[in-house]
Amino acid sequence: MTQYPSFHQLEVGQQLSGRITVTEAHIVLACGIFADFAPLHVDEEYARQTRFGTRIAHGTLITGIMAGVLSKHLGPNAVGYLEQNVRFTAPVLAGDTVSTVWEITDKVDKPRLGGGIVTLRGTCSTQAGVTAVEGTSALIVAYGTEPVTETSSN
Amino acid sequence: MTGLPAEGVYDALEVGYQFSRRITLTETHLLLGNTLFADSVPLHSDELTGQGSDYGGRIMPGPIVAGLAAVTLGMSLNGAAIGYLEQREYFKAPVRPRDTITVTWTVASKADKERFHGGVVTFSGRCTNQHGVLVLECLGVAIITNRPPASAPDDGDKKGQYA
Repeated sequence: MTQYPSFHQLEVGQQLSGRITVTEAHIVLACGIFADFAPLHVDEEYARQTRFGTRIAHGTLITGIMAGVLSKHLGPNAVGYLEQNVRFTAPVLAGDTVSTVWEITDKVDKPRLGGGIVTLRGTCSTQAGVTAVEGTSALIVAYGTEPVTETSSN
Repeated sequence: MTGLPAEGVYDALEVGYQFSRRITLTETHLLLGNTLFADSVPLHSDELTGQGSDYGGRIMPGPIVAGLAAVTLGMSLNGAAIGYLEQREYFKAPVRPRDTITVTWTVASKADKERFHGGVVTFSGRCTNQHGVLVLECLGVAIITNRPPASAPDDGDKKGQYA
């Protein structure tokens, strides 16, 4: 059983986190869905000459992974992603394990939306503790039925 | 095609300059996006949940559309965009599988940076669907070089921020 918090159950200061290993497969698939075949992502010989020394992951892949962490915690109560502002501060390479930590900074009740707007600030860091992405986001979280439960298929 | 030269792109980008790209998003984008982002929001994967919502069906994860916008910068400037520093995204309307999205970027401001043989450019962006509905407003900040695309970026500024 997975329980997903509703808008009212979330608290300012609460942290939502997740960790995932970024693989070669992520980079290759990201090239396809974003139609981004820039040399830094697909050409190892080119990338070897750069300061990174190898191909790097798309920044937008990492911001998507950060948003995915919110989905993991909020499930069906995440009903609208409103805004995301990010700064890219270091590269992510295939094989890096990145940790995302979001902290709730504000909540605004919006009864007409059947929930409220939750604002967060977050970071995504590599296994070496280097911050790769930092930023803020805002989304609509539903009142739901408190608590929302979902039976795992596994 | 943007009409930009193979080199000297930073100098050629004037404030107000526009370029765009159009792409159709498919079920494949939705499925791969959910997989890549480990996204478990039912609105992205469960058609019955989507149909029961205000959206009337499944919708795309916002980062897919934001990613398309960002990549349009990288792929439209002849390899001169050598670092992506910052992006701000404001999601205005849902995007569904089979929507055709037009991304349009406009050069908003420039700041010369000699160490990059170019400078930092701020772009304002808009994404609209095939009905002309604005789905995303965004701002992007990128390092643009005047060097030809075959050149690897140098290591002039170890604190340069790339993604």
